[in-house]
Amino acid sequence: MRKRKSFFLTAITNSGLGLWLFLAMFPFFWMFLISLRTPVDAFSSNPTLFAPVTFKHYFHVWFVDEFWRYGINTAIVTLATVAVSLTVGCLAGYALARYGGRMGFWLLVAALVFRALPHVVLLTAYKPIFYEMGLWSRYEILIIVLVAINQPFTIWMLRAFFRSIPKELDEAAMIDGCTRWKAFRLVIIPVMWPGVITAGLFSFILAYNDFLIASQLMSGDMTTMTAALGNYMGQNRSMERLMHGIAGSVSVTIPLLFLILVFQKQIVEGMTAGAVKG
Amino acid sequence: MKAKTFLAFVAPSVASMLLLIALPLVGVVFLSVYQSYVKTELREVTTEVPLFGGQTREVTRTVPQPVLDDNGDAIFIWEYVGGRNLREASEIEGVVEAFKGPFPQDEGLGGKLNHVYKRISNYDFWSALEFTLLYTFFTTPAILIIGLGVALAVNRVTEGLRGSLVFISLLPMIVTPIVSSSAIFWMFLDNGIVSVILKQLGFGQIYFLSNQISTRILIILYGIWFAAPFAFIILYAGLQTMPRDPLESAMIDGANAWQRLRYVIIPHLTPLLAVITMIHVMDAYRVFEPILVFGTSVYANSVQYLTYFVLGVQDNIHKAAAYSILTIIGVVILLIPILRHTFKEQKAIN
Amino acid sequence: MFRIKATFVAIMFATLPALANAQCNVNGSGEVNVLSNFFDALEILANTMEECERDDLKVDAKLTTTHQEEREVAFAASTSPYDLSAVANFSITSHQANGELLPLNDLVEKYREEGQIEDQMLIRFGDDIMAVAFMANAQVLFYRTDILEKHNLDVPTTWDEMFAAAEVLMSDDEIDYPYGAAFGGPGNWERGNEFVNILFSNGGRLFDPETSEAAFNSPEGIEALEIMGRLTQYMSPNALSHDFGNVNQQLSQGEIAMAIQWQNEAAGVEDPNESTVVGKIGLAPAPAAKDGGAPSSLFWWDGYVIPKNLDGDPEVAFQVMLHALRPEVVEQHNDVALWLRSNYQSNKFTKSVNDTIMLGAPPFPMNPQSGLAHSAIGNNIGDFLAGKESAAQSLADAEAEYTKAARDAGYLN
Repeated sequence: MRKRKSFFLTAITNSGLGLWLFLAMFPFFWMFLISLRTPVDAFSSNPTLFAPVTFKHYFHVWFVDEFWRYGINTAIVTLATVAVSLTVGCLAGYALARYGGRMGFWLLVAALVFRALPHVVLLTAYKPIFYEMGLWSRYEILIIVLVAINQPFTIWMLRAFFRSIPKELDEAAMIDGCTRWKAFRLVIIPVMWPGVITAGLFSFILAYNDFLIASQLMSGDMTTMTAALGNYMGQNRSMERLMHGIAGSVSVTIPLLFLILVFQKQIVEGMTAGAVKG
Repeated sequence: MKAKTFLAFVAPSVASMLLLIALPLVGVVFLSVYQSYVKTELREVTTEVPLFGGQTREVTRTVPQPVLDDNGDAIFIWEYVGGRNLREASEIEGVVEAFKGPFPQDEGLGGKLNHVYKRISNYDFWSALEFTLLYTFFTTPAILIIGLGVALAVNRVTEGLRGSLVFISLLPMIVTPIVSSSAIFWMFLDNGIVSVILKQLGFGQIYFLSNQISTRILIILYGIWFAAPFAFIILYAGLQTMPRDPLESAMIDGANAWQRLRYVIIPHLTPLLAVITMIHVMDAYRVFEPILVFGTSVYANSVQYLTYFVLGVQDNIHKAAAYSILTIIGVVILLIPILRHTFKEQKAIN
Repeated sequence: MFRIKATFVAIMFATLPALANAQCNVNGSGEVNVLSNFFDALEILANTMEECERDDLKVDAKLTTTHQEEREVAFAASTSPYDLSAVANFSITSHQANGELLPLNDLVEKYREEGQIEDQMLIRFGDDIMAVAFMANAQVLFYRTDILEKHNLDVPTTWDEMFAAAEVLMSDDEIDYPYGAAFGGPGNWERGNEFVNILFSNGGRLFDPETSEAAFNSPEGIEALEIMGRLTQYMSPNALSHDFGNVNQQLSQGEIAMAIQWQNEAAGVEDPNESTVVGKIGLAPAPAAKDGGAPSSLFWWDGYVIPKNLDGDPEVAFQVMLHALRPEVVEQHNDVALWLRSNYQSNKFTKSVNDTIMLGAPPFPMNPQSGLAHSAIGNNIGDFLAGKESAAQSLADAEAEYTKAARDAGYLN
């Protein structure tokens, strides 16, 4: 009796899971499939699973439209954003976890409100100011903007994570004569990596996926891959160019797949270690 | 930790937020009370326009032309308009009037409310806010339920398979939103793969983008699909920290699967459910990409898209600033319950 | 940055050495940043400009569909990051009215011979030459010759004939819908555009030139909007989210029999790589709102402008532009667009634009108020087309929005 019931339950959960996995994958699978077709097959009135395969859209996007340049820009901007975000965020997150005063509380509340702001609100102010100062289309600007936008979430997440590291650890070090800074460096840094990797992944995804800000603040060869996709949308597009856009979209997706493939274990571990116990 | 050390540690983070978040917010308020334009006057101007095959056509008409100063530069007017932009963006007068009536005579309260609703939802900001809130309130419970379901299901699967399942389940969340909304949009066009399959299964041709209800449902479904992995991953992590004992003792007591879920698992996950709700409400309020990609702002608009539209397409920074302020007010109202919760929790800690 | 279409890639490789040798003799050095919209002709011109790149001269083109937004901010700032920008008669007006454009008279005189500048390429406001145009374009009626023949239908020349023809075609199973047009799309631009097309053909106008007050909320305007409303009955129910790209897709998959589309898209519909209806498409002027009236279409030009506030040398930017506008470029890419140079050879498709102009279609009006009216209309008539409110209400909403926008821009008090 007991066994049959659990068999029944397994069947339900597994088929539900199967449906979810199918839904999660299918749009990307289909996008990948049509990116390998000529426009006439890709948007055919009678879609088929098999059609002649061509790689020319990829060739065009990467070598004719020189998508590789945007790839480099994306790499620079994303990696720098993650590095700066984490450095700045770790210091603040650690301090917030160990400090009990009022200031910490208000900082967290402010960060919460900042976290909730739609980015276009900030863009409304950035655009006239940066253009007026001539600070446009520069890596530094995009990086610091993304770092700032990323800070609220990063410090909340890292604070939660640092709180799960026992206070006694660094306090013991300080009793041994370390300064706060030294205690942080010697005791906390070695054990903080699971949480930092998780926070870093969220920073990475935010910076990598940002369309709104990069598309408005970067220009020409300086733009990122995601923002460059905007060039393939809009009213004057031909079918051919739409296909280039699809090939570009698939290209943008692939690095993310690798990232998650490599780090998915750490994401779960980092979260389990307390990064989500806000 | 001493206050001084604390300040030293948080300084870089605070500086970046002050400079690039707080200061721009002040800038937005500043921008919203002004209106700027180049001073022009109407003058007769003859323009010459190229035609086909080497011909040109001359047209004379009155065209606004810049008024120049002594150096020959255009004069730029920066005019203080006070609350005008804000008043017009919020359509506050229209909203008040809608409540005052006049109403159609023979209708009851329902008819009257409907009348008020129709008038108010004709205003850009209010209709954008309406859909933004609908999106928020429909997606939030859905992602909690789906996220929990998937987390429980993945947790039942043998250890070796879990990695790949987590990987696939995360896809909708991590893939660039502009890419994933495009991928979905293409599937639901007239001859998109979903429309065609439904047709072949005998449901007839369904036009998903042909009316308000189905367009909104589609965007909300996209939102659920996009955000459910976020709920999933947090809850899945939460399940890993689940102590074995209570579950086992519940099983010994003869609790069935539902009772174990209801009385053991869910209470353990409650704090996480609150975190997910909080973060998702913030994210949902920002919904932008599907509105941009689906291009159906007649049926479904969002506050972030509306501001983007005024800023980019209409190129009116002052009006965009006014919409930004309304957006901020909306966020703060939405956050009040969460802020109160944080406040209490913080009090309890200290 | 963006090179030539994929279909030409093979040819391009064959001629690569020749292209690389194409002489670009720009005097001067520095940096030329170009901002432009994104379609085939502009892509070709941008690539040609980038041939001028050498050690002491950087040429960088940004092609984006959000060019207009970027340009408005850039030209209004103290210095513009862009030294050269492609505009059309729609987008030049506000920059001209704001005094942001550099008059090109001196440069044109200096380089007239060397660059073989033809008079028909020069856009003048009064005495000032404000832009150098390179192509003309118009939206025309694309129709399936085979389908109209099958039903013995003539190409409709008025909207009434269009309704009659569409009624007949409703029963044809070969197609899904008789008609297609861009009634949606991001930014609501297309929707406003089609209204303006029909309004002008119907004898209406957008605003009163003496006072800048809105004039489209008129009997002509209501009629024009009602024509659009009737057309939706013959279109895919998804039409309110279709932009020109979707119309292209419908046409090339043989789903519709007639459509309003930019003439320069004909090349794609004739490409077997993109289309299933190659050789079955004819082009004609758009239908008129009245018997014997002008077609419901406006004609457009595209050209380059230089802002006053550029950070580079205008003379270098001008020379780079001239390099791209050489007669040889037109010759090499003759069928890509309706080029304004005299060595351009017209083909069977561009005749429709010629006819459109000869039948009296006006250019898109070059006043900044038109752009504001266009945008206000596009934002508001969707509610009528979706059946949410009456035509009169939609136009009243549009008028209110226009009035505020014109006031904010300083055209109305």
